[in-house]
Amino acid sequence: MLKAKSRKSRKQEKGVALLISIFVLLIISAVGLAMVFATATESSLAGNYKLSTTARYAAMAGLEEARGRMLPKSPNYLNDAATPNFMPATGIALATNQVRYILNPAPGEVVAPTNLASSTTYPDNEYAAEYGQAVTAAVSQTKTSVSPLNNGTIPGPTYKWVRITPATEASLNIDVDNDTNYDNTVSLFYDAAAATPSLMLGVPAGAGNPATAPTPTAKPVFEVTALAVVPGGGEKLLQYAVTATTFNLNFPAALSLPGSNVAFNGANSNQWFADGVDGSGNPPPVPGCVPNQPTVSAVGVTNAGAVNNINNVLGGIAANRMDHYVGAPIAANGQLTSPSVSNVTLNNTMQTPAELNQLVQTIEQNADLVVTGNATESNMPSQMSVNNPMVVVVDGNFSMTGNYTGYGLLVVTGNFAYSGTTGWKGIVLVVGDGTTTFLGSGGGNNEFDGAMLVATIKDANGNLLPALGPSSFQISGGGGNGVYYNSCWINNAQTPPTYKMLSFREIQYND
Amino acid sequence: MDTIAQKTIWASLLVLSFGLTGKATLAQVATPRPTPVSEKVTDPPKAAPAKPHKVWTDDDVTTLRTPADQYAAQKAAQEEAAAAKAKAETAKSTTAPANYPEGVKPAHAALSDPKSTEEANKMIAWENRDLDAQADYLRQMQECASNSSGSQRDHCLTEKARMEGVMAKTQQEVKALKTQKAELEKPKPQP
Repeated sequence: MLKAKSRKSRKQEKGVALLISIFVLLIISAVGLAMVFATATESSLAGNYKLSTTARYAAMAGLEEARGRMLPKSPNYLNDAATPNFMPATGIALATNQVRYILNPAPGEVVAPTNLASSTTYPDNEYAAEYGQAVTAAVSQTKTSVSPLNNGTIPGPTYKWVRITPATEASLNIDVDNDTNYDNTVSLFYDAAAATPSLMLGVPAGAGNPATAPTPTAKPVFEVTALAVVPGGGEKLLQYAVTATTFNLNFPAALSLPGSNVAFNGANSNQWFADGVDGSGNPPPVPGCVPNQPTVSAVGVTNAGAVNNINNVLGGIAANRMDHYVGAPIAANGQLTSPSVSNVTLNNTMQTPAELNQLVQTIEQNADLVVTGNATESNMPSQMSVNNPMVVVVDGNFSMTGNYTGYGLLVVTGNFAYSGTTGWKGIVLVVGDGTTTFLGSGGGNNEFDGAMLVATIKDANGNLLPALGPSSFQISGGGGNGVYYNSCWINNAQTPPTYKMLSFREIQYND
Repeated sequence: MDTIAQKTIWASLLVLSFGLTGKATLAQVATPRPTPVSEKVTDPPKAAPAKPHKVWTDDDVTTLRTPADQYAAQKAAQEEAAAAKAKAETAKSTTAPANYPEGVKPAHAALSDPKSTEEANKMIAWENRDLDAQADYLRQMQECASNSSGSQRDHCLTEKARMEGVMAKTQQEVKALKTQKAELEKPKPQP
């Protein structure tokens, strides 16, 4: 009985091994297939990641090329003979109807971001999303990339275009003034020197004109947007918001003489003036800049110690030249003060010897030229011009003669003497040791347009003083070499060491 | 006084009688012992120390003046007053209002009040150099106004007007300096 049952059972189990084998094979096949699919997906992901990363770095390369070429001191500065007005001068915004492109086509390729009708030439549809109108309605200028891509042997970055535009509330999607209106007609500025550095709206200057700076140290904010499309289909649209970092210098007077005991001797000539009205005199214009800052004092002093520096200055002005020092404060009837000699407060990078010393070192680190020892105009860089202001530090005495005119930011750590028909457009800082003297015996019609500061921060042995020492300003001659306040030249003289990134974002590209 | 008047009459008669022109000098008249002109000219040093020195006052002189002398003196006084007034006007126009606060010693006026003709010449030369520069500047502003438009043109015209004011003031200073130089060139009275 039992044997019969056992035989029957064995008969029933016949073929199980096959089934099990088949099942196992199925499982193995499934696992194998899963592994194959997983590998393919991984490969695909890796490929996509590679494309994305390549596109990202290509777009970053475009952003960085633009950020670098926006600097006036870049050898590939965007403003050149072909496009002299591609970028505005330092401190000046672009008008909101302006757009700039750097194009980077591959060999044989056409890149035309303003051609919105063609999806194959990388149209810039993002512009309309940010500025509320098609890019074809804006005024555009283009330049080509300086990458060696087109030369073939060494491939450059594969971005297609970079766009530079003025940042607005609408384009950045930030309501800066909290009025619930995202303005798209006024450029944004950023004041890094403010107590709380922040974005602020510019001062409107009419349609088609760039807004002007709301504060003396505010700098315009630009959007830099780059599109990269790499072979295989990877594409990235990246965007920076950048602003120029400068030395953030502004001045409360055409001529600032901080210190404990100012020695002042004014000019004899009838056409020598110290004028605190912005843009007074006859300065060469800074492209795109309209002097519009409030009137400052003609001569500013700080009342350090018991000595009345205002009286020191007034005592050095000839009786019949008192009306040659005009400026703030302005009376209710609009009349300027004359003589305009006031106590002033310098900004917080120039109040103490330590601060001024730090400022001089910072300027020196970013200078176009540092002359160690005494110098004359022959030591100045020949490339310096009205369109190319430079930062020059003379670590010694500086003597300027003849018909020389300098442009930019000049720091003299010793005595500064000038004669003849000489002048400077920008900032002159005579910040040095106990012998600091400004000596003038000029003539003719040149001018010092911008601002000038004379301060003593070290003793005769070169040791830093605890407080600003006595400074001396002597114009034994005269001529027309007066000092005229000019906010445009003050800004233009501070060529930015870099463009600081304020924000970074990735945008979906729709072609 | 009577004695002096009599002596004066006698002296005048004496001079007239000798047929001289009538231009008797005060010194001649004042001589206590009237002497012929020829004698006085030939030997004046001997005559002077011989007599006590007479100090003449304005009152004394007035008595000697003829109506013609008085007219001449009046005219001279008027001219002097006019010159002083003109000088004051010049000084007023070239000197800014006194804006010196209390405790500040007013500085000397620039390019003014030379102490010598050499100094005056230097100041005038300085002013002339400035005038040349100012004229040049005016030309530049005129060209600028002609070749520009809008705010730039307005700026040039404003600058031109400003420099015209400066130039007029400089010319006044030159005029004043020349007057001061002429004063310096006048021979100073002998002590």
